[in-house]
Amino acid sequence: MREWLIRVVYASVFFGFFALSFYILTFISGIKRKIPQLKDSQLPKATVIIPAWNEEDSVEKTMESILKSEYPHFEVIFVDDGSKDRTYELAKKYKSDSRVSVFTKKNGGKASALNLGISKAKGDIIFTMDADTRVHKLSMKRMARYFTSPEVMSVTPAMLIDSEGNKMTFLRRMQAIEYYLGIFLRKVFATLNAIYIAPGAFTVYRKEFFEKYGGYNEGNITEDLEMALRIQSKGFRTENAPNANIWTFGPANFKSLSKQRVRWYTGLITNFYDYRRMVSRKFGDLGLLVLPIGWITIMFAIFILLTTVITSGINAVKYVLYLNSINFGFSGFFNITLRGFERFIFQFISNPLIIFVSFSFLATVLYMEYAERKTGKIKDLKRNLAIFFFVFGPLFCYWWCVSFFKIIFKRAVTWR
Amino acid sequence: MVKDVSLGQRKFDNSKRYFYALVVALSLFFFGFFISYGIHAFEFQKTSVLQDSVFYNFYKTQLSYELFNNSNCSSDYLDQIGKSLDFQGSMLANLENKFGKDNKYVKERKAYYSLLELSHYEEMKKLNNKCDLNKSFILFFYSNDKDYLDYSVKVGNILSYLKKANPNVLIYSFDVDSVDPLVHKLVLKYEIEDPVLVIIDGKYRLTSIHNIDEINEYL
Repeated sequence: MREWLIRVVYASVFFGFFALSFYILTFISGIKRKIPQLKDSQLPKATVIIPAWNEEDSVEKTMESILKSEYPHFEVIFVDDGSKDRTYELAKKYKSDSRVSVFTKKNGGKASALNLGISKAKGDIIFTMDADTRVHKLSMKRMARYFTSPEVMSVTPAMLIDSEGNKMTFLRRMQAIEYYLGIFLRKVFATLNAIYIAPGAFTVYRKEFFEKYGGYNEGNITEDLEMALRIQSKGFRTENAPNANIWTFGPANFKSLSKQRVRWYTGLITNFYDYRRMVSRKFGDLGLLVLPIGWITIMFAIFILLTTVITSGINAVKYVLYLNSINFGFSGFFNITLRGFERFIFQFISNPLIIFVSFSFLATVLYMEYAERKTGKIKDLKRNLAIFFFVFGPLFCYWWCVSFFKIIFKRAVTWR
Repeated sequence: MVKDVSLGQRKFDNSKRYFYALVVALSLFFFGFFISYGIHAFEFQKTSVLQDSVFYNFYKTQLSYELFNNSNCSSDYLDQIGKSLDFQGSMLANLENKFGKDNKYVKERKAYYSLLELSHYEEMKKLNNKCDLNKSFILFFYSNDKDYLDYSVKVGNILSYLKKANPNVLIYSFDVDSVDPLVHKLVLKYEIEDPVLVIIDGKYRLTSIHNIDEINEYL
């Protein structure tokens, strides 16, 4: 059994190294990639749609940030999705700005609010924006410049955790690292034409796509993910603007973070399943490598968590039996000698898995370095990278497991 | 209007990259194992140096007794050697775990270790008889055969605790499958048939141990 487990782990490590090497090689080749960009005078007319449900705490910050954008011609459509708080009243204050329209409707979910906005939009390109998000004043421009080829159907930004005016709690720091790592990967996926996740917080689409292929799927809990996969499935391209910063608040406590992650991961699994036909050579690097890696990551995370729980359980039982065999005596239990410590360190560093984890750790330091250069530095973030590895790593496995079981046992997944 | 894009047009960014990535991944993978084996090779070297050092010290002590008729009753020196042997034992257990019990170098080092243990056992017994140190001697015969491994580990753990709890107990472990002729003679001397056996002070033979009290009864 143990031998079998080790083989599975080593096979996964090897596959992980293959993906890591592929991504780094892609990144290096992508440095030379010249992407044509639109000039200011060529930028298309834009609509920003902001769906909101109970966002009274952040709506003003979001509106002020988007209205400060240095984009030549754009309108803002704010859609209140039946909020029970003061979201609608606060949004109405901005109606005095001629660029802003505010609508309210019966609660029907984010996708339905976005669809209403799309139906009212006059722009050629549509930015979708969450009501708890802040954008850099040049981000709209930086993203819209990528619409040179008709093949480019959407553009994603560099997503970051908002540290301005928000307490950077431990969980927010962990999310900040995760988002940083995502900046590198999104850049690589753009080079491969394999972006399959478009942040719901802020992404821009050609309006034509909605007109031809329909709006957001209102029954889907991760409608933004479904849209990104739909764009890929139709053979179009999603680009990435790594210098277009946007900031989202990020859940501050474990309960809300867990809810968010379970929703995301459940959506990812169900959408992956719905678009499983894309795991094929016909879809280039996306179908042959990026999507299969997504599936393998999910399976490996679940496998690791389950085996860790089972083996820890077995070891705990064995340890209790051992303690029973020595009548629960603790003589010399805390007698840590230098030689004992040396043994522990030796066993630790000579374990190939620890060496492999160190390689992966170094790779993530490089990912972060790239993100910092593109988006700016967040103080002390690199120092938290080790904690991210050892705390957030198991949490990812936990959320994947919960999501998987929610799907199997058909349990409801909620937004908040 | 949006024009349909034919999926036939979808190209790989660079198909050769799959091969390059495979080469890099293989290199990283083997480099990881290389580092791990390098650390273990260092460990082998360290074990040999330690064993040579312990051997030298034994030789020196024996000569000291013979040449100068040393009447000192202190066991400090042998205690130190005992600790060094414990450390070597744990190192060898790691190496055996890593390279397997049939590895040529592991077998060599284990045979050497058994000799050192026997020397320590003999010296300690002499000192105990001469100076009445009130030490108890346990010979632990174990097997790494998969049928006996779990039980061997279990008894080994109980004995390790016993040693921590009672410093006057000295434990010497021998692999019944050892290639060393002296250990083989020891196995024959004690007429060992059960692969896992504990012999206390050369008199009491215990084959089925599940609790520390079963050993304490004879100490």
